[in-house]
Amino acid sequence: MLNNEALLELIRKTEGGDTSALTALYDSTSRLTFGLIMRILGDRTSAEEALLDAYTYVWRKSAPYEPGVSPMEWLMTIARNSAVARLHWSRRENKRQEIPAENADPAMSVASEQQRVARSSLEAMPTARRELLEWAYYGGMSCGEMAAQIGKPIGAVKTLLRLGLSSFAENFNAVQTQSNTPETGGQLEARKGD
Amino acid sequence: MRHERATEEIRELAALYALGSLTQHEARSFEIHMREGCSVCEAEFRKFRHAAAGIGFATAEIAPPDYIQDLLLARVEREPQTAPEEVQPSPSRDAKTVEESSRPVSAALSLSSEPQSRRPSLFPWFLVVVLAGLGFFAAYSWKTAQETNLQLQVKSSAAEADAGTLRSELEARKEEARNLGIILTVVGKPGTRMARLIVQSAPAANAAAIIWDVEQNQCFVLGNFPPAPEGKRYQLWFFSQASKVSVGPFKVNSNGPTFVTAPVPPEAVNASAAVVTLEPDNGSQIPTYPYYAVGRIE
Repeated sequence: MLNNEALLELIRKTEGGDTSALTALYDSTSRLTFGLIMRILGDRTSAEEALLDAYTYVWRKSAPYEPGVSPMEWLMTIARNSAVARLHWSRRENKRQEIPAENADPAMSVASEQQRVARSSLEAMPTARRELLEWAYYGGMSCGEMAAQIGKPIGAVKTLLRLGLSSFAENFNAVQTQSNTPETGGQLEARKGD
Repeated sequence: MRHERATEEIRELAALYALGSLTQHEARSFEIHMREGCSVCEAEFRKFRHAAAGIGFATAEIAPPDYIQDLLLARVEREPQTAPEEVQPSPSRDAKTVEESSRPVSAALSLSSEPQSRRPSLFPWFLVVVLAGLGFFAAYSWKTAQETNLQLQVKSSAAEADAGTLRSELEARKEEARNLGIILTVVGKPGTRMARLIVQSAPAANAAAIIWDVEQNQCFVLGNFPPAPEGKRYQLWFFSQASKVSVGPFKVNSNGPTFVTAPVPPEAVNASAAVVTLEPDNGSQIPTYPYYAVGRIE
């Protein structure tokens, strides 16, 4: 299990052309990024291609690491963008495969605390807001598409999305801040951008 | 315009931007606004960016297949890293373009100035024309006969060549029709498995497909392959979680689509991926990196 400093070091080395660092980064993080990509695309073949693209972006420095975000958040954003880009030109109708979630050992996960907090934060939200948030994030849907889906004006969808993300941010950031304090022994580094 | 405090409208824009839910135009406007130095919008965006990235952590972990890491390493070995600024037009590149584009102009100018300094007398040309005219009349009859004969020969050869080409095309079409018949029969069978092969070079592109007639223990390789490099040939493999089984080397058709039939070894029965590699002419016992194309067997 790697902490943020170790992940950051691997990213720096990868950006410097070190393939062994890229391998180590992939080994540590690909279960999480592949899980996210599979959730978005639902098709294993497309997901494998999107995963390859995501780590190739890291290698090519197409989206250089920004110091303001945690390394894992940065990687997850790249993985999400890679999957959503593919989703837009290969819509997943009739291709969705149910891949059983794996009982991952939290001790082996690179971001088990973030996973736990993210899940509980989503579960704590009202269903309508959570669904919209998931459509936007995992489905890459535009506000117009969501408005058509639920039969409400675009303005209402935008407001619901803002409220949903705000309440998620409140829970997610609060728990993460606690886990970052030295007293709790958390390993996530304080974010410079906050 | 810079904001002094965060309003509901700003929070909404920042939240939607972080989620990637703004239209292209709205997103571009918001980016420009932040780049112009609005610290309020920037701070709101940073807050929501952490949250938006956090949603991704709610998904379950799934282990990707082992071969993806091999493919990643094979891909990065072929793709040198590039600095982002390299894609932007550089002053040196512009200077080179200007230099190259000006070269033909200067050459044309120097040529056009030459005739003015060395204008020849007309008399020698007159003599040449008279002599050439005499020679022309003397050879005219013989040349006319020769040309007629030559034209007939050319037409005859062209007709023969056309007939040969048509025969070849007819044979090729017959072959394609036979292959199509085979494909249709196999695709219609229950239990037939297929793989869409993706070329691993950038940009990734569809290359070919594998159709596996499980009942008959044979597979068909269909697609457009470029000729293999000198001393190399393509080789097909079936990968499973536990093994990498060679189906065998195959030759490609350099004049059109390739259609190859190959028996599938019994030990490949649990294969989940088809891989094409470039191997030495006599084949290989293990697949060589980089893989040429890969596809999941559905």
